[in-house]
Amino acid sequence: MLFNSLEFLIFFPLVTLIYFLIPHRFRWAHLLFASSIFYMAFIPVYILILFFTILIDYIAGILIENAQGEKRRWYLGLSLIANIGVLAIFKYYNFFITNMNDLLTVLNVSNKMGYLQIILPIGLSFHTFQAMSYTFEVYYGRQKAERHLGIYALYVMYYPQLVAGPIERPQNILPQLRTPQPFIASRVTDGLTLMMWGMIKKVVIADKLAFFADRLFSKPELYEGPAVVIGVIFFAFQIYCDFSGYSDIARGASRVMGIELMENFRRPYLSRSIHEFWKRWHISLSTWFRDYVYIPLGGNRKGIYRWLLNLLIVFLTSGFWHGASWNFIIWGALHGIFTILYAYFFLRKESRLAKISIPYWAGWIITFTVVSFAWIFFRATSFDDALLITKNLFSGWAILFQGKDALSALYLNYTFSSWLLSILLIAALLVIERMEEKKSIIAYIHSSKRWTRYAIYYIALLTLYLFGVYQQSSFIYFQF
Amino acid sequence: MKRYIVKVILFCFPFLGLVAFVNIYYDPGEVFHSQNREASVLMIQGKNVLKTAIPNDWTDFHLSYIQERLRMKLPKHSTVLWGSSRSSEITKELTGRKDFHNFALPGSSILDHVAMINIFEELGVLPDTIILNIDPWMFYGRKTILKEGESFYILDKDQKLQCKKGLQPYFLKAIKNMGIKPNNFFLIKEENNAWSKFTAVLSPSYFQSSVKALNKKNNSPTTRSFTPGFFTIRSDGSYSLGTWEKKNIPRVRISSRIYASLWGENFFYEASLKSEYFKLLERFTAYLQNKKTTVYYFLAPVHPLIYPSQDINYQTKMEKEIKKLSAKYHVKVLGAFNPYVYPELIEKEYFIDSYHLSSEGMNIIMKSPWQ
Repeated sequence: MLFNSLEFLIFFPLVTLIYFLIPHRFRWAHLLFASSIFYMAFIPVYILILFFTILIDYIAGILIENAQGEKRRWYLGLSLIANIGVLAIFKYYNFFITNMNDLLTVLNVSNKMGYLQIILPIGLSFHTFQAMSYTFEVYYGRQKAERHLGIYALYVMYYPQLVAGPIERPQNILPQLRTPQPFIASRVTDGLTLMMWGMIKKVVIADKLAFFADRLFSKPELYEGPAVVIGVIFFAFQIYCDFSGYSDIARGASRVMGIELMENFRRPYLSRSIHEFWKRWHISLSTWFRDYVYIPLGGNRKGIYRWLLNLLIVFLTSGFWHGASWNFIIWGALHGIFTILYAYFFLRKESRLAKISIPYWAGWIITFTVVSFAWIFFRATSFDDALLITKNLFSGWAILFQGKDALSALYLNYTFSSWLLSILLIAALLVIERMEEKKSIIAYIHSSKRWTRYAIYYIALLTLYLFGVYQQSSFIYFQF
Repeated sequence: MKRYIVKVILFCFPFLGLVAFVNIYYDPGEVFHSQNREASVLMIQGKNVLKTAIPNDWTDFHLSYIQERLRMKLPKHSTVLWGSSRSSEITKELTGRKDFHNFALPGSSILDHVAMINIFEELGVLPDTIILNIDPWMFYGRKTILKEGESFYILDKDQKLQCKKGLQPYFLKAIKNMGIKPNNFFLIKEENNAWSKFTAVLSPSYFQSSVKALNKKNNSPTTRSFTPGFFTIRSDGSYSLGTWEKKNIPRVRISSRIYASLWGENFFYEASLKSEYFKLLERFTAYLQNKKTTVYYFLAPVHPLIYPSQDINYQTKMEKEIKKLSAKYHVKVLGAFNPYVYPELIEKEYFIDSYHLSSEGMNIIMKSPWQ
């Protein structure tokens, strides 16, 4: 079920109302049932995969807690094999086969391996990683094994964050699921406001920018120079508003029920360095890789070269997590290289550059440019397309001096009014985010007078109604 | 909690009330009050439809227009055409038959053609000659393709042809008369009218259309399909769509090329001829012949730039099958999908777009003897 669908508009108030009307002891069952319906709105049978991993990890958690020494590692290993196995079959098998078949072609072997004709279960990487974080935490002794199968299942399946995160930690969610949450009007209002802000980001900004970005990435041979720059910038904001919009709706929906989810985005496009960017972008995934990959690999404790290698490994894995395609791996590699360069020149104490203070605007421009450049590989439908877009980036700039008619290429053959509206929306977003650096938008609204508050809500509703794109477009991160 | 819910409802009520009012009052998609019938009557009487009634959903309108025309018991047409927009340029001058009428229904499928016979039969106006326009998508079975990263996934689920909204009851009666049992392949879920009304009341996209229609209600239509000059009344009394594009040939040429690159690769990707639809055409032909009706098949050529980029196998196979059928039932075939059969079509631009011949182009096809 999509957050931006009519079904959710009925589902959400109904589930929330029942949640507050029933006694606390039944709430887990109610939420679990609602989450199952939410998930089954996509491909119902895939819920069995979820049940499978839930059961494995539930048992593994208890076994790890009860075991001693080497056995603990074995049980952790079994749980990881089950989770990664599901990912390998559904997400990576066809990618592996494609590459094997390419290799066989090079070796002149005529026998080819067959593909699996399956669709990736929605949000598979998210809930698998969330389940894995539970077994890791139990293994490291930072979390007690959950004995209540229903509560544990709800931890994995909790509908607001089931298909696109935030990838939660058991320490945050499990105690909240066990605590009775009363109906607090101000909290509900905050949650609804956050949901509305998320919806604006998704249906007003992201889906509007998608018109332009989709044109560039579906027909890259038609666009050059400034049109490519605009298309890529629009995609950078599209993916941000799409994904952070989802996270805001998820957090808002959860906050209404009194369960606080972690912040997944902290205004990443205001970052002054790639290092800062990754502290602000998809925080739940970055911290997951930090805690379960980077630190176990030794982090920055094993010398400079090992540190840089660890960074590269983390970003390559992160790229591969996003999708079974070389484009995602290259995207991860680019971020790995940017981060390594930054770490080497700006984070080492011995580095001279570390002592230089870079102006905010310069850092911001460099960071936004490299991040946007990497998005080309993330979004392009093939590696060839990504290369073509990169090549076209450097040609066709003469268009800027060829008069008014030629400038229509800048709008990617769309209407000027939509293009201008998109620019204004991006500008408005950046202004709001700059304000949010000091105080959250919700706090602003909360502290304003009643009639101002109502006016803001009405303007937000009107914006949604007048400028939203309602074609039920899926969220980009659902595919992961 | 109760107080809070009441407060939220009271807060939302004026806004949602306004949305509902605007959506119902301006009703750009005619969900709440269809003007199709009024518009059809006006058009048949030769009056300016745009001044009084504004039809918006042109497919629905077209169906209503056909039904209204037949209901008015106008003199029976001895020759009619059942087809799609691809045959909408065929006029009585081109056919050389004075009482010809073009009943082309945009985007029609074989199911729509079958449904049409029931409308004609019920009104007792079955013609002596029927030209059946057959389109490349008419027997088209295509599996749903999903792209995930660099791999394609093919869902084992066939896309089905659909009857136009409102034609389904006629279709079911028609196949019953033909002795065909309705099966899963032919049954199409009818759109729930009450549900569409319910969703339209507060729909944001409907609201956007309503707002766009705010100042246009009394003097101009709300969609491009009914802009003045878009449709012309032909000499047989039927109307034709899409005349605006013919005036701008250079632009059309460019758009045809863009179409070639946009559609060329995968419009017929994984397409296959569906035997169910083919059998339906066979039974339909036999049924019409039993009713002493002469049947012609008409195949409109595809744009010469597009034709090679499509799945030629699919199209030639379909053409071959149609020819086999025509030989079996002694049905004459007019035209061909392959534009290269007509060398004249290649010399100049005779197409409105990738799939639609201009009237000049149609003249070339209809010049060939057909009776």
